[in-house]
Amino acid sequence: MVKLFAMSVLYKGPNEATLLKAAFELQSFGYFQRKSVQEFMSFVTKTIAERTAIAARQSVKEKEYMCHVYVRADNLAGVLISDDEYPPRVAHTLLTKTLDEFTAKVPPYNWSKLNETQVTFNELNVMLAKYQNPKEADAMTKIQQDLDDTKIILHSTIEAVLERGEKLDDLVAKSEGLSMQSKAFYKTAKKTNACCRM
Amino acid sequence: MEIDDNFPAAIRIVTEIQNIVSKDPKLKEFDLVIQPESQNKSPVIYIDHCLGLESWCVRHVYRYVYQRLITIRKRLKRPVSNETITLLTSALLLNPEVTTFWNMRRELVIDEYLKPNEELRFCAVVLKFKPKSAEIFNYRRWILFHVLKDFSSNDVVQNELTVGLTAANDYPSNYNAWNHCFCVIQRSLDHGNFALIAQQWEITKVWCCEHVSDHSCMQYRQRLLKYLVTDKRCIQHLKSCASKLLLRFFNSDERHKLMRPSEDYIGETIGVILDELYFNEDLIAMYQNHESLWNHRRFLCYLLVNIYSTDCIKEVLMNNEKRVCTNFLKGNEMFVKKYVLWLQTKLCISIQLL
Repeated sequence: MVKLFAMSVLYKGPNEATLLKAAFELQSFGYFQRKSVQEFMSFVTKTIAERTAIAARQSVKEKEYMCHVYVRADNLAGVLISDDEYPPRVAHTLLTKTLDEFTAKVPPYNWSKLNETQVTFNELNVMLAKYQNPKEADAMTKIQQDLDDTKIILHSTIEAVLERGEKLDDLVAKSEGLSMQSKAFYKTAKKTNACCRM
Repeated sequence: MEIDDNFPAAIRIVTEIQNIVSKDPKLKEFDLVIQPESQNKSPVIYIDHCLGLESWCVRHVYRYVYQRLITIRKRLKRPVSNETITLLTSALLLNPEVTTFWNMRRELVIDEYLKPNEELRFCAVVLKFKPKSAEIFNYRRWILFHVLKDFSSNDVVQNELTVGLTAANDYPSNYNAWNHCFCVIQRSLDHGNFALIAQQWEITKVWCCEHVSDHSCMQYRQRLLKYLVTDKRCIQHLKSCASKLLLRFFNSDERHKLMRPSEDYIGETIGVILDELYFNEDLIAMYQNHESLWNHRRFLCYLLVNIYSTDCIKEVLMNNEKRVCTNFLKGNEMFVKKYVLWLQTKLCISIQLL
């Protein structure tokens, strides 16, 4: 499927990343799975943003999903979760554009003090809907050309992004953002070797 | 094995499920809700036309219904009771792969205990849980072709194609779903519904853009295309764009060599194939490294060469494919190389890559 599932803007502080705004499109998941899927995507978003260096881009593949991250030099981070058919180059172009628009809307001096409830940036939902069709991104070719010079680090699993000694299972168990049900959901999905299908 | 007596709640649970299934004609989906332990309340969840069953009780419930049903099946005399229907509903929702259970339902349909239209609805709900299960599609086809038998109504056909497309959406490269759609199409062609092919051709074109690595959808389109190029009655429902495409693909010399004025129909057929060839090229440009797109391209070239078995078409095709392969070599290296080799061995078209 060519699909965007989640798009988020975060502020990457010295210890952890704070979510500033997130948008989701989860209609393709079953009714009873959506809540856990959303919690999980938020969890992955935060985890990967925290493990991406300043001024770097990463793309992480996990089963049929892709997670694209861009952390700018001013600590603003964008994370996008898509299906593995969605063109990675367009995804990164989109992240650049998102962070630019966010900066224009929310002044930078506030970022470190804000949290999700205090930010209004509804453009994120609009963009998530609009760019479901990657062709819409044709107009952004200028950014795309700049992107050609940047190196995007590719990883084939989430585990590969984690720091030495870290395990995904432990992070899931420790996470406060995941409900009991979602943790059980993770265990079951892992057992059946499928991300979100059971 | 004896009936599992440790779980007396099973009867209550399956009855609750049956009530919801039979009372809600708008029921959309069934799914398991992950819940490792009992919450001291009913494990059946029903919100917004969606039915969920908490995962902790699945093992016990399935064990109960399975054993009960097998006991009933083993009896020589099988009096029909509501219990059988109730048990079957839960058993098939949880595991639609058991042919015996579907057969028991078939018998109930024949004896008119179950209504065929309600059965179609029930199947659609089971498909939301297991979108790929061949047994469900078999049962649907049995209802359509052997019980209802009526293909004159367009609503029945459209509903079938919608159900197929939903299942295709829920599971990537869902051959069973696409094959089901195609069976339905074939049946309605027997009833003279020729416009259907063109309609499906347009719908799946949009669908393909959103599922570029779906091999089964591409194959479905190939089957439709075969109808379009061989049957005049099918192609006439398609909006023609042939002349523009022929101009783009052939230069005037080549057009002259290939076309005779009497061959409008050939022009139309070639037009459809060329349209698909350019559409495929656009997708390849947008989405790197998808085997499905390159395989589909092979089919299109094969069709083009075989409809027009002249050397002229091969030459034109060679030039076009050389351009495409060179343009997209970066990012698709493995597939381009395989594709070039295939052109050489199967169609005797040789391309030198720079």
